[in-house]
Amino acid sequence: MSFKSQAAQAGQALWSKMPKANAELFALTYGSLVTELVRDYEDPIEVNAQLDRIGHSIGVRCVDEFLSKADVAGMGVATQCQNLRDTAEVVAKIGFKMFLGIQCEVGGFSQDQRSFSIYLQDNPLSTFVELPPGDEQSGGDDLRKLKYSNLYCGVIRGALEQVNLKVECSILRDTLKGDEVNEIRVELKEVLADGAGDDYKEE
Amino acid sequence: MSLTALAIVSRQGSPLYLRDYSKDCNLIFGLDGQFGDGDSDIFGDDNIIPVKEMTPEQEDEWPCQLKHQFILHSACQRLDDVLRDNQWKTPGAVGMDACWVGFLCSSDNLRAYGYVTTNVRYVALVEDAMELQLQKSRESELCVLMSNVHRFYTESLLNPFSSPHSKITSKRFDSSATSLITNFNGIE
Repeated sequence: MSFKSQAAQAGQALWSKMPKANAELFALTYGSLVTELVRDYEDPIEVNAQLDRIGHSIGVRCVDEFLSKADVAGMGVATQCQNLRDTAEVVAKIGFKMFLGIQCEVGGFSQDQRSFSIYLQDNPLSTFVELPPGDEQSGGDDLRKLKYSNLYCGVIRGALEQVNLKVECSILRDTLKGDEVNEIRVELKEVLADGAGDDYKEE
Repeated sequence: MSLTALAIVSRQGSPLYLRDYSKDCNLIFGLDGQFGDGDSDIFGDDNIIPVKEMTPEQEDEWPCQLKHQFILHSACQRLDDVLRDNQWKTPGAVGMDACWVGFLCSSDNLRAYGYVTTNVRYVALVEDAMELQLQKSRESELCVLMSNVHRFYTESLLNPFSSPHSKITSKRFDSSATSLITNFNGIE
């Protein structure tokens, strides 16, 4: 069985075991979070950064849950990720599937195999959302610069950081802005060495 | 017998959505009267005061002809009176029938109908039909149409960037309502 199909099966199995929540309530909660942030910070760039930070703390916790449940789904220590491609499949097929229940595709691998894209067809965070049309004067907040689903970028960054992969994520395409799919670009910056930090360096 | 205009009014009476559909549908009578000539009266009377044309900014803000707006206003007034009396409910009705107020008033060749939900009121202007039977069946179809428009309205409210009692600016609502109404008008 190829790694990809193994991952897909594991994702499906894990999703069926996870407790579910009402999709509308989830979308409305996230929507009110975003509008509150917009009201507080007003600058869309700042709001994007805040969403990324929030996502980061979510990702750090999610990855622990994932790793603890992975054994059960047959993706334990025996099936480790050999390269970034495998990691990408795991994030998309198991991670997103397990926590959000959505099917994602992976693609757009770069030449040096250090970056990839995740494609989401439907985004459960943005059901019913329509970005307000931009104001004519540049004085008003230009909500077109707002990356509504920037939470995902933070989650991926936080989760991969815990497994020693330092990545940078950004949203390239967004259905809220008129594109057909949502595309998240993930770029590997460096592989961190396992370590407890400088304080514990052996003398 | 096509739907010419729709108004959505909040419980306090402020307008949320005003739109007319007369340009897209085939009316039994032309827009400007039986003889299709807006300028002269059939009696050759030159003293009639034509209704002022709307400026483009007004047109953008509330895409509804002034003539229809006037009729909608009087229909809303009548709806207020009917609701205050509290006698309009059909006993034992549930769902969309419980919200259906029915015929409000008529003007020219247009009849106004009302549909009331908890926070919003809908007023629709429909052309007069020739036969009574057709009118009755259209009325029930209109009730179904209103409940679908209400469903789209609640979905537009779920947008976190919208605010409940302000003007409806959602393009999705606009296009879904328009396609519902074009379907309604298309089935003759």
